[in-house]
Amino acid sequence: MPRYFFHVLDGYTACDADGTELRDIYAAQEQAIHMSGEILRDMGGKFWNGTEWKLEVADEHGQILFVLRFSAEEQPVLLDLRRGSNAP
Amino acid sequence: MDHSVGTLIPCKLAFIQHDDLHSLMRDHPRLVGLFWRDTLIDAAMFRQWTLNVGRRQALARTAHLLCELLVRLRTVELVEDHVFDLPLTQIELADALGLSNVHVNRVLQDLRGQGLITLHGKILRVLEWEGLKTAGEFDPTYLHLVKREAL
Repeated sequence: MPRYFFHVLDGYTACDADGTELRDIYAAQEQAIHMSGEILRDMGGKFWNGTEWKLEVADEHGQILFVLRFSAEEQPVLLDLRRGSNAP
Repeated sequence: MDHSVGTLIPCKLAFIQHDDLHSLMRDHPRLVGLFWRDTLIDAAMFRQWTLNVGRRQALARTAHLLCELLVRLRTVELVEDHVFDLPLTQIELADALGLSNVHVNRVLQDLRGQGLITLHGKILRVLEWEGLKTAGEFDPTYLHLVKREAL
């Protein structure tokens, strides 16, 4: 079975040096979604303190096959709301 | 039964008829207390597992399982110097933890990176027992162990 490497790029997690053997690319895509969900669940509110993070999945040759990106964007109005002003 | 039972490695099993158990209990009442305690400990472990799989984060969850295994195996003298056999595939480990296979892989690398464990093949070595207990929020009280040296 091919081996896939799941690199979480969040600024502090180490690369996936071991990789995981999976049936095929579809299994890798399924695992990527599950893994992302589990990481997001663990992050909870901490997600808002970070910048974008992404999950890059590579094959045995180091070729990146697909990327999942996660980011949140606060709109300027939120800043005004926090300040307690009556922004239109 | 409402569940199946599997073994990870070849095992010898013995089956005891209920009638035999009942007469054994009648003849040796102290055994009743021991069996009762056994079910209490089972219930305590299930509560921990519910909490572990339901609420703990992936790293703490994995660390907790490894801590429980170490203490339980040490009680039956299957741990030598914080090293024990872990005859589990990563898929089985992920299944037990309710995590995806690749996430368990990441968590194990993280635990190794923090210098808490090493895992070579099926041999798990705990390098930092206190650190692993902290990471797993592990308090062995629920195991009701009287053998203090196992803790």
